Amino acid sequence: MAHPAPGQSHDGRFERSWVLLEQRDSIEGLQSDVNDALAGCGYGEAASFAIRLALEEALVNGFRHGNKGNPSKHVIVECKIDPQGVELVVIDEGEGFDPGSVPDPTADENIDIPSGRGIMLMRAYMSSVEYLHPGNRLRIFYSNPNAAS
Amino acid sequence: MTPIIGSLRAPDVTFVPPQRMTGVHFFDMAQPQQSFIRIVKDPECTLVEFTEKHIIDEVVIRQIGNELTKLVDDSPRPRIVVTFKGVEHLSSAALGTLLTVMNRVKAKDGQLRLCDINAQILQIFQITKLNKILRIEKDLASAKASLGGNK
Repeated sequence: MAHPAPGQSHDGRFERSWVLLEQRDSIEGLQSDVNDALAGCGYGEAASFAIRLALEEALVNGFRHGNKGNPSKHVIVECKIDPQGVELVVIDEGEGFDPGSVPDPTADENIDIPSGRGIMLMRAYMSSVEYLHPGNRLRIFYSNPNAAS
Repeated sequence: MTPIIGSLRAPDVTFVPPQRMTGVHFFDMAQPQQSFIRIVKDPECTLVEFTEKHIIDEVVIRQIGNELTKLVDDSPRPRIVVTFKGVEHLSSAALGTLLTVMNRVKAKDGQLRLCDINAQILQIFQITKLNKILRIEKDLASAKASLGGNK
């Protein structure tokens, strides 16, 4: 049985927020805490892989595109884990954007363009991905496929 | 599950304080930059191995991109095999770097092969359909065997 993450209840429920600047150490610490909490709640390797990937893409988008690389601006991450699923909310300090404006990276005319695949990967691995108005607040949800109905 | 959005009770909040200058990764210019790949010269090709199991940090990816670009630029007709043995995570930024390298290799009429990609990473290439334009082989032997033309 995995050790629970700090703040994780005995039934595996976990709820925590982070206020981050763009630093690899901080991001790795967050990823490690979330990974520990997932293991403590009984999630397997596939879920850990998917959530790490989605969280990484969300953070990069928040820092790079939302905060436009401004090192003094923060990204807030709120995470809630229970046996039914994982909810992540990622908020940057940018003005927001229209996710519909991102071209399909799998279209023939875009396939060899190096950027624009982060949102697609999040959508592929998560059960739902939604940008809340004005577009600087991302909510992603992973539904536990093994949850008791 | 009560959604976070609209929840009245704020969850425990961790403010992660800055531990060094933020957003800037300094390298001591007097020292050589850290490399995140290992380059093995082989009679048939140039083999590239990653030294990191997580290729997600933008600084790491940029450095890998710079090294691969130099490798391509230094060869009149590059024949490069990139092995993903040991790689556990890959971000979309890493995919972008591989595409940039592929375009440079193609521009020099060279060849690029990727191999030893685990099932989870392979799925990323399939989802993004990059497996259609990047040549992916099962292992190093088949990657080498697939290289055509002059050595």
